[in-house]
Order: sequence, then C-alpha cells, then structure tokens
Amino acid sequence: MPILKREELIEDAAWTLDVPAPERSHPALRQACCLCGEDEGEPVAVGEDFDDRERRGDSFLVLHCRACGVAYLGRPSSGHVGAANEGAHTNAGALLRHRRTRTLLGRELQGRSVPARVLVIGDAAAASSFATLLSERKVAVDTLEHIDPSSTGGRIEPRGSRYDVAVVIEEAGRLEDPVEALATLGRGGCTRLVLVIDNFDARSCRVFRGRHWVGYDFPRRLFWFEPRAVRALVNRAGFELESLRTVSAPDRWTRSTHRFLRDWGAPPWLANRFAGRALGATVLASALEALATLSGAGSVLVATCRSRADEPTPVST
Amino acid sequence: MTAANGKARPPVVVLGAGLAGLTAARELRRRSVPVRVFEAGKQIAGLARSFRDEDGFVHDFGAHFITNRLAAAIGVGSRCRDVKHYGETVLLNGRYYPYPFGLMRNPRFLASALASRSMRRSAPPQSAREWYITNYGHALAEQVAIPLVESWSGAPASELATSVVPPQIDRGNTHVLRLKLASRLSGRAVANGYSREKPESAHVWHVYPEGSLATLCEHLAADLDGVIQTESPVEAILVEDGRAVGVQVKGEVIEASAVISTAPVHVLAKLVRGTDAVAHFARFRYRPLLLVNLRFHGRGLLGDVVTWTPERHLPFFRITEAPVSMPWLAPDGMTTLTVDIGSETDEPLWRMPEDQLAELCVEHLQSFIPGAKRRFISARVLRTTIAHPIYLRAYESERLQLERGLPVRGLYSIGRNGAFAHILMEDVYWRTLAQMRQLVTELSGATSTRAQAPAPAVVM
Repeated sequence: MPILKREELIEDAAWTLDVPAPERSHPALRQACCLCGEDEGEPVAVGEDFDDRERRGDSFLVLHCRACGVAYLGRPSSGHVGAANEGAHTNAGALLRHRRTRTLLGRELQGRSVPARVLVIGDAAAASSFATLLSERKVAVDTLEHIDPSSTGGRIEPRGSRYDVAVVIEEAGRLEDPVEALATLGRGGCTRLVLVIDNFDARSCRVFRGRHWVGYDFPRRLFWFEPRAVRALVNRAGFELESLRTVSAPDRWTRSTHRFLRDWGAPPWLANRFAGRALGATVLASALEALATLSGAGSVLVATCRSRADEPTPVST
Repeated sequence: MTAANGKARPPVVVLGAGLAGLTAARELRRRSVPVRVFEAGKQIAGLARSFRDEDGFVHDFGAHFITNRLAAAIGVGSRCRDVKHYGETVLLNGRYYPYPFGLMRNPRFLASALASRSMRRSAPPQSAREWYITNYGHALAEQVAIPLVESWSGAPASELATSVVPPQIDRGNTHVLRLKLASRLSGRAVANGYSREKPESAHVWHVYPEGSLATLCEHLAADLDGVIQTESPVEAILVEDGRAVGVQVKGEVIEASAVISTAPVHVLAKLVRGTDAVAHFARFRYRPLLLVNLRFHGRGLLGDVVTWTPERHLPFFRITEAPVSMPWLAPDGMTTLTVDIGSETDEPLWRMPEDQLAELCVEHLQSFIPGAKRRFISARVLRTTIAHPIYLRAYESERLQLERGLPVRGLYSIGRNGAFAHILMEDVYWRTLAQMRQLVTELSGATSTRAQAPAPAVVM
C-alpha cells in the first residue's frame, strides 16, 4: 500500500499541476464609485458576458455604493480592459425602437427653443436611429460613437462644430470617468444635455439584479446609476437637472428573462419565447413594465439638463 | 505614503503568503501603502495547493470552498470551472439522511425538533450542548449534532461555547430550501451555508480553479512584485509602548508601521516581544486532523459528496467524495474518499502508521460501502496539527476580545487561523479587505494626527 506523507506531497515538485501564468490586474482601471471615489461597495451581482460566453468565459463582479446609488464593475482581468469600448452589444438601438421613447426625446429637445445643432452620442445603431428622427425635423445632427476625452483633447468637436444639445445614449456607464466626460461636453459648448441610461433602480433590474439583468452588458459597462446618482452625476458635470423621468422598455424584461432561462439550462423552446418579439412574452413584459413605469421604476432613465454656464448672469444693481 | 515628518513611512509587514496575507498585501499596495510579506515556507499559498500524482488523482490539502463571487473579485473567474453539485448527508444505522431536511424523515428527530421549538426558553444556552438540545431537541442533538461537534472539536459539547455553532446554521428553512431549489434548477452547486460576510443567493455557487487551488494566491501575488520573501519566518514581532513597530526576520530587525499576522493566535502570542498583552492567546487550541485520502474503483460510493458519520464507534466523523462534484479530481471509473479523523497529537490514532490507518478506515467503510476492500486501491495520509479552532468556553471572553481586535496598536491578526474563526475562503477575503481599509484609515489618521500634535500616536 503506497503511503506518502504530507511533506513528500509538498516537496514533490513533479506533482505540481501546470498553472498558466497569472494575469496582472489592470492598474489604470479604477474599481470605485465614480461619484465619491469610495471602493467599499457591496457585491450585488456576479455575471458573465452572456452574448459571448464561449469566447470570454470570465465572470464579473458588480459592487454597489449605497451612499451614492452607483454600481460599478469590479476589477476585470487585463484581457477585458478595453472591452467597454466594444459597441456591438449595447441596447440603445432596441430602446429607440420604442416609439414612445423617441417621441419623448423629441419632445425634450423641441419643447424648448429649437436647437441648431445636435450631437448624438451612443453606439452606431442608436445614434443613427435618433439622428434620422431629428433630421426629419430639420435639425442638424452629428453622431459620435464614443466620448473619448483623451483623444479629443478634452473637447467634443468631432467636426469642428459647436453643439447646442448633446444626447448621450447609454454612454455614461461605459466611460471610465463619466463626470469628466460629461463636463467635457459642457466645456465644448453644449448648453443642453439629454442623458438616456439604464435605471439601476428599475423594477426589471431589481428582479434580475443578481446576475441576468440585461443592463449589465458585461464587460462593456463600468457603471450603473440609480435616479439619485444621475442627479448627482449631471450636477458634478456642471449641468442642472431640469427633468428626470423613467420610460418604458419592456425588452429589459424579455431579454433578462431570456438570459436567465438560457443560463439555467431551460429548454430552447422555452428560452426562445423570450428571445425575439414573441407576442405572449412581449405582452407580459409590457404589462410589467407599464406598472413599473407608473410607479416611477421604469427601466430607462431620461434626464434633461441645462448647462450651468448657460445660466443668465444676474443683473447687478 | 509618507509620514508627517516627510520621511518615507516604513512598510506594513505581513506574516504569511496565504490567501489572507496576499489579499491584505495587494489591498495595501493598491492604496499606495508600502508593504512586505514574509512567508516561512518555500512557496506561497500555504496548503491551498493541488497536486496530481502519477495515477491521475488530484490532491488538495483539505476542503476549500471557492465561490464564483470570490473568483470574480480576485479576477480569476475565467480560470474556474463550475461545480455542478454539492450535497451533504448524515449516515445513521446504515441509512443516509440528506442534510438538513432529510433528518426530519426520522419520526423521533422530527418530534424532538418540534417539541424543542414549541418550548419556552427561559435563558440563553450557555454551551454548545445546551444550544443543540434547545434548538434541535434531545434526540437529534444527542444522536447527531453533539457527537459530530465533539469529534470535530475534540472536547465535550458542554465545554464548548455556543459560538461553535456557525451563525448561518440558523438562517431559516425557507432560505435553505430556496437555495437548494436554485441549485437543482440551475445545475450548479449553489453555496448554501458557506458565507457569513456576504449574502447568499442563487447566483453564488461553488467553483474550482482550473489547474490548481493555488491559482487564487498566484493571481494575487502577481501584483506583488518584489514584495514577497519566501523561506523567511518571522522570529519576533516587536512592540514598543503598546504599538507594533517592527519584526525580526533571520536576526534582522525590520521597522514596520503596522504588522499583520496570519499565524495561529497561539503562535502569535509567542512571537510578540515587548508586551504581554496577547500572551493569554497562547492557551487557544486548534484541532489536529488526520485526512486519509483513500482511492477506490467506482464512483458515487456514498450518499452524497459529504457524508457525516456521527456514530461514535466510527473513528471518523466526515467522509468527502469530491470527485462526485468535481469529476476531474480522479481518473474515470475511480474515486477518492477523504476521511476526516479528529485526533490529538498524543493519541494512538495520530501515531498510527499510515498503512494501518488506511486499513482501519477501509475496514469501517466496508460496513456501508459494499465491496470496499475489493475496490480499494491505495491511500495517502495528511496530518495537520492546525485544522480549525476549538471554541472552548474557557477562553470565550478572550476570543470575543480578539474579534474586536488585538490590544496592541498596529498589530492585526487576520485570516482563518489568525482570527481564530472557522470561516471559509470568501469570508477570509472580504474580512481582510475590510480590515485593510480600516488600517489604511488609521495610518492616514496617524499622519494627520502627528502633523497636528507630536504625540500621542494613533489610537486603534
């Protein structure tokens, strides 16, 4: 009967398994609340890149800063740094398919003075969709896929123009420093800002928060915001919040449910009922989302803000 | 980080390069606090390592529970495999009872548990024995809980403090059922009763690092270039005026702004020089454990992954068949049973030759594993003198004091052994992070305090 002592087990280096070289954490990527800088958030979710699980296979942690209402991505491995700039999987395009959302955004822009130039920032599908909508209304529109303050020298003027209004669609959560990026817009001359962003306090988020919420979009987003965090964000960036409302996005329910079912090994016939626009799932999701929106917990936040630099100078007496 | 006088602050010294020590060092370094790690052994990770032998069996030193949440927090999620299943049973009179609800299939246990629940409690229980009888009733306590805790601890349950009962054991049946259901539906081993620091949920399950358990520590160490010194046991922790000011390593005195120990507290008590404030921890005891790894032909030889054996005539109290949940740990068609035997180092079992010990185990296994002798292939034995803390009532007040912190400023005792707590890897990780943040705050406070007034030093 072969018996080995513990010391022999430890000393026998030939037995040690081959382990791939460990990766360093990426030193530049902060793992903290983008508003207060604290990094003592509570872990609220562990998720994966559900759109591409085969290729990545990594898991991601979401930590929640209860003080600010910001959730942030835990430290990813170096292989995933830069993934936030991959734009293939954002949901903005789907969001803007909803007529009510488009109408609301149009109203936000045109209810006041007619803007001369609008900059739409978001992934290509979202930006072009919204740009088309505005162009129909005789508004000059430019689109920009990402805000990258480092490459533009702190100015968002992709075509040498100044913009009256910036519409930022789901971009704020993908920026390493959203406060600075939005402030850059203000410094670039944008007097109004419309921020469209997933609601981390939405009913759909609360139900699927632990893992499957479609708004996570791992690993392409770094931050998620509750309504109070959006208020603080725009305020820090030099804007004054004019209105903040939640809008309906039933696809957050269906897509999250689809992820949940797929992840838990549900039969494809069941999971696929939530994949596309199956009538039953859409009706159910619309009903749930309508109820949530009525109670102020809709899936998407739309914040309309005005630059504080645009405020009229008080008349001296 | 610099001190108020402009001089570079001496490093924080960490004793031990296991999970707790490396987590502490990485967190401090991330916060720009200079740090040095001294490891007594030749390698990092302590016993959190895996080894594959020539027959294709993978050996871990003891059970390690790693969750996908811990793996994601450390950044090794992509290197871990999901554990598909984890379950525990209790073996009584040759019959398996799934833990915990299966025990209620026994009418005596059910009746005693219901009776204990319905009785009014006059005073809180003073010992583990009283706790089990109060909460489980006499039958379940006397036949299952008390024999197990006594084998696990090596002390009578009447001498054990109630803190030996892990707090998560009282989480509520609905919670346990919900997690068990999630485990069944998701096809993953949802962690159920393995986390005290962070909430359990259906989305937190057991994983196992590909290659080796050491993956976790090696990943942590990758951010600690030039910080870790192996084969460097700390010989003394130097305390002046009630504050840890340095360590002695290989005869050399190294100044430190704080000292973080992962050593067992009874060892720590002997290392500290310049105060007797921690001397009383020398009487804290840890349970020695014999881990007998037995290889067999076949798989699924027991009721579930872990089988508890409370019957007192058996020399062991727990058997783990890890390949049931992690098939890669053994070649196809074979399995490993790890038999846990609690034994003091002066008892005959501890001194028993390994082959006799294996034969003894197989002999007893034969009574509930048909053909155990025929299936048996070989055995390996691990002896560890520090398996887990023994929660004796005799030093419970001091243990509670330790929970609040050591009575020496700038000296921390962390990790499973350092905290004298039966906590698992994820708890070690989150606790250590919290403690290091506290330390950084104190070090910053020390700077500003000294900047305003030369003395006294920061108060912990």
